[in-house]
Amino acid sequence: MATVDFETRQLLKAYRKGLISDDLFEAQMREVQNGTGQYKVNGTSHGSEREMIKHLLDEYRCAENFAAEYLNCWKEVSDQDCVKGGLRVIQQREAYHAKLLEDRLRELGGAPQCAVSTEMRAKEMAVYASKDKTDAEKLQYIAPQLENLSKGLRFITDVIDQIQEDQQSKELLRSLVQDELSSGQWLLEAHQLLNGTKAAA
Amino acid sequence: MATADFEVKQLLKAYRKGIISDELFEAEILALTKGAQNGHAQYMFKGKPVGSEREMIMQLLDEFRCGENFAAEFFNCWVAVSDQACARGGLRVVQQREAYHAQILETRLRELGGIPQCSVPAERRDKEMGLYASAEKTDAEKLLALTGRLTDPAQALKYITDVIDQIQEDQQSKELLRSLVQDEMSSIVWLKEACALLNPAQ
Repeated sequence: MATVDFETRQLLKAYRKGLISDDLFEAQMREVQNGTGQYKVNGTSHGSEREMIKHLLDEYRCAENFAAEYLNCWKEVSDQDCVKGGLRVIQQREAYHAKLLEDRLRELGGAPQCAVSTEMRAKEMAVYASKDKTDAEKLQYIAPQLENLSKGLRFITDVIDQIQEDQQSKELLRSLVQDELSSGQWLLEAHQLLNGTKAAA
Repeated sequence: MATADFEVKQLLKAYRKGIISDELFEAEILALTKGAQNGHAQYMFKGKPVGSEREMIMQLLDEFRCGENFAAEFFNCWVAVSDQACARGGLRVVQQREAYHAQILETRLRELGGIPQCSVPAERRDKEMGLYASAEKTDAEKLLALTGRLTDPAQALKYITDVIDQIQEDQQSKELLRSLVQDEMSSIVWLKEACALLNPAQ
């Protein structure tokens, strides 16, 4: 079986002789470099580490931006002072994450594309922005999504594990995951506090 | 037995008549307020008695805000001259944390009727900026200097956690501060990890 070095040399030979175009050479080189180990985000394959990172940055940015929006609405109608204090912090975390992720996406030559679907927006806003639902009910709604937080964050940690070149993005994402764990932990604690008996049941 | 109120009145009488000096009056009043700790609620901030829970919170919000604002400033300068891509990634997150902390603390301070007063002394500003904004010093050197002050994170954050422990009424500020402490711990852990990575021999 041909080694990566051999395949690279063959491609360079063909390219230097003008037998293949720039685009074809680039695509072939990517394929050789990736080999069988394709870069993946959420089951979608990407030709390069950079493409994979840009895809994640955009999806993650989009989710954080929306979370900052609905948490802001929740905070406005919160019926518990202690919840409001924590929500303010979590909302600000989500907002700065969205900003930082967009900045990094643009630095890597990307542009924001991902958007929250109308159905999802309507569904989440109906819960979090509602004055008729209590903080306890909203925490009850969000808690099941946080019970296996490390699994929920796998779409980020899987990418972090695959990054070998872009150490800046890798460390940035790793630090944001730490924030997500802090937010998740606080929400579960607040849920336990306000729905103690129900949560334990 | 004389009540604390009676004793304060007696002290004031003696002070107003010039029978006791400023120093003696101050020492006696301090002793009285310390003694009152056993009797009724006494709020303390950085070892000094404060008249009310609200006053204590406002003092902390202002000092904490001031520290975070300055940290956001010097971390921003550091990011701009960082010589390690991996350090820059984490520093950007730490810098953004400090910036939003300063903003949220100022907002809460103003909601409680306060205004920002605390500022960083010029000497400290020059010293810190001389280090973190320097393009000549490496990330490894800067991390070593910074983490040298963070050997005991719980102690470094004690001026905040002491206030949190005393809050009984203002649950919003309490929970806000508790969540910010969690961020501070995350930043300290990352700074220490980055320091160990870039200074393996230390």
